[in-house]
Amino acid sequence: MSLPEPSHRWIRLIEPACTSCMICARECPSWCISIDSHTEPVEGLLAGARERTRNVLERFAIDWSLCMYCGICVDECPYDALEWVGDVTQPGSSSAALVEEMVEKSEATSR
Amino acid sequence: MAAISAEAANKPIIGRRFYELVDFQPMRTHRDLQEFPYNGLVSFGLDGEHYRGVMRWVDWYGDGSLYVLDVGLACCTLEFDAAAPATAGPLPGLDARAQVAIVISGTVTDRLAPAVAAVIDGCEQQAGRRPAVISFGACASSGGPYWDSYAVTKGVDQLVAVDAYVPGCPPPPEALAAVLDQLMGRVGS
Amino acid sequence: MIDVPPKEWLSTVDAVRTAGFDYFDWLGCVDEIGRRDCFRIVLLVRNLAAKAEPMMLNCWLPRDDPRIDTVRTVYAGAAWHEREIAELFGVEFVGGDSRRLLLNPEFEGTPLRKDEVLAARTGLDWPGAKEPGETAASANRRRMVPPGVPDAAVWGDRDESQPAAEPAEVAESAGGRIRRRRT
Repeated sequence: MSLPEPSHRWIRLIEPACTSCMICARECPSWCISIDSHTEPVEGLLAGARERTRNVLERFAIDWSLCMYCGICVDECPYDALEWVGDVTQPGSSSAALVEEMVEKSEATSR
Repeated sequence: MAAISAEAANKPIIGRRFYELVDFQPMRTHRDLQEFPYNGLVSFGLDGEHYRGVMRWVDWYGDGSLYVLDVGLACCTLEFDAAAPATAGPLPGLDARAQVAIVISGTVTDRLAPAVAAVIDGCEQQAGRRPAVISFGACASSGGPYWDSYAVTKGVDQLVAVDAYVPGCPPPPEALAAVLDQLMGRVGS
Repeated sequence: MIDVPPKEWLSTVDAVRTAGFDYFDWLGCVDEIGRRDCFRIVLLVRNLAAKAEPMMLNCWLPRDDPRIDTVRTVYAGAAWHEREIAELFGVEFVGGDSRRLLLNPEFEGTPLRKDEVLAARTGLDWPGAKEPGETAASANRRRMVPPGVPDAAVWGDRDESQPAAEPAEVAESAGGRIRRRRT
């Protein structure tokens, strides 16, 4: 009998799907998810339409020294923006090194 | 010990009384505890009392280059057992170049914290060199899911300097093997 | 389940043992705040030889003065269970072993009482306190509180002109573990 490939070893953010709704950060029992976001107006609306805003994700970080790999964040995300992967979370030489920043800082988000 | 009658064994368990399932007898303890040789003894003082214990180390690569001790506090110690390539034994005389590592596997509670620190000190004396300290798992790294408990030390680095933090709850055995390989400069082997 | 008045606790437990329930299983405590202002001490013992149902005894103690006789003279194994209850709930076992079992000698507080607030959670900023689209949690907006942290108006940041919150109010605010009265 062969064992299935290990799959629940690391959690990955699918950034385009994240709307900064904060549900994963609120449901996490270990408080290990940190999210920063800001709002921006939506462009290209029809003339006369009311102003709408959207959330822009600035920072999404998981502190792996606290995470207990329960998967509640993966289950709760309404947009399936978190997924399990089979690679092993990397060790670090300090506990600060175990905080993984999952959003690349770009021109747009560092305003 | 416990015995299930043939008739009981065929019935579904759910909804049955406890006393229908087993012939229960209280456990007898330590009747057959074997005497083990007292070499490899580590001794340390704690709260004015003097303790001795036999510390068992794993010769990780089988060649005496690295001896690894598990401070098995909780669930992560099972992953250490899975990762260990050999059974642990008392520490033999060490080569000058041999290294030693101590792996803290599991939750450090405030009550036990002085004992953990004392064991690490005692092992350093026994080995005659500073061990590499590996914090194995979330609890040892920061308190993990129990960081908010009234009784938990938030990471073994509150007690002792840590060389490597391995995340996971628990980390897979391969993670420990990889960290030890890195420590020894044997990456890729 | 049999309710035993505190005055009859030791004699009842002794009688139960004499009746054949000589296997001590466990001794526990339930904080019944919000339902009754009591601690409920629960004892479970078994009669292995007779293959009977286990016997569960309840004793209700007033929450402001919880004292009960020790049963370690009847079941020696109860001594450790009583020490644990004494240090975690603040119940006094008359004639019992008063040493701490699990907590450090310097530890202060009775952590398993439902009105004891988990200080670590209350002291730390909750990452989920921010609203979507915020980088720093705004001070003026009414914020969500996580489980385990009581509402600031009840416990952390209470208006000083008001008296201190009742234990039941704190327990209820901190996480809804409190059971409502059945009315």
